[in-house]
Amino acid sequence: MVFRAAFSKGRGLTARPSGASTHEGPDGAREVASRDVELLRRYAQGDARAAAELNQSLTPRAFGVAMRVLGDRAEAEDVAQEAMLRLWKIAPEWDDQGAQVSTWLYRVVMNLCIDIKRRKRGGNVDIDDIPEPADPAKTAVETLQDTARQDALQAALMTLPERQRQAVVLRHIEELSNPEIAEILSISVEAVESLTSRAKRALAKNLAARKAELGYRDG
Amino acid sequence: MAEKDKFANALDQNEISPALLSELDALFSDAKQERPVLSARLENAVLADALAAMPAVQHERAADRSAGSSAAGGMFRQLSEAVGGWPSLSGMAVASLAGLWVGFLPPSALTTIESLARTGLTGEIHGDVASFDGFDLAVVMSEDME
Repeated sequence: MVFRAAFSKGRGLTARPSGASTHEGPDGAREVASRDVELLRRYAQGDARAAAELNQSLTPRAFGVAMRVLGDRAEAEDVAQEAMLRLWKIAPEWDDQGAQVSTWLYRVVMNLCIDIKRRKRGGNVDIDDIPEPADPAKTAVETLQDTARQDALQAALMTLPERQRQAVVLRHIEELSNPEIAEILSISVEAVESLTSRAKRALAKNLAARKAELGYRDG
Repeated sequence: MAEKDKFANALDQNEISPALLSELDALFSDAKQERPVLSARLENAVLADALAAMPAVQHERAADRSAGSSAAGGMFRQLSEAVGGWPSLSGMAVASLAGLWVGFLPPSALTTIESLARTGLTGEIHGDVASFDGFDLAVVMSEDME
């Protein structure tokens, strides 16, 4: 499956930038965040090595989250490249007192993902104002007899409404805090909690209906 | 209507057992352990974008334009710095040329090279390899002995 080629086991090769609060702790997250800002400042001053370091640490994250939200490698690559391009362009004006680099990047990625979905639907209506149509990925899940569990998780994610998918990916896979997610999605913390709660219930129901296909055992 | 919703909600709650939620958490935990695998195309494209958009490069280009020269040199220097300097670039160049050379060799020549490597004679008779390209090493050596 194409999705599997986009991820591999282990997380040792790519440094996780700011926001990875669960793994690095608040101090570690702050340290990484300040490192990102410093690298961005050096890049703006013409340091090519800083560009390479930011590319190594941030592009995988932008691509990874776009892949989870879009479920399409080509689209996720386009989104990651465009998001990083916007980062390069904004570097000279980066406000050191403002948002973390990774939070800013996540917000751009999520907005680009929404733009892609909107273009696919061919309309200009607000994506949150319309009911989520049935996703073709549902039928894919039903035929995945020998699919790995993570493929099934991704397929189940693709059945969620856009905002729920974004929120649950940021919360439970990217491990961001609810306030960070609220900032990224430009919604309240309460709305984030509601989205992730509904998303988890929907995912659990989806997976319950396919437990046999996933190789689960009861209990 | 309200009663119906209440019943539906209760049914939903009943469908999601703690065991199922823990299975979902296990899936999330596995997903967290996975790291994105970037294509070389994306990595290179992002780095090329970075170098092209770098403010210092933009200034250099403007200065070069006003001086009537090309900015290609500046971009090449930036790329060199980003991948680790001249040693990396020269290593990449040697590896590329070696690959190109092997690609052009006929299969028989590769067999001969492999045989030479096994006998440990590569250094001594390297010049002969080209002369007897396509011949088996044993034939070559037996002719020499006659």
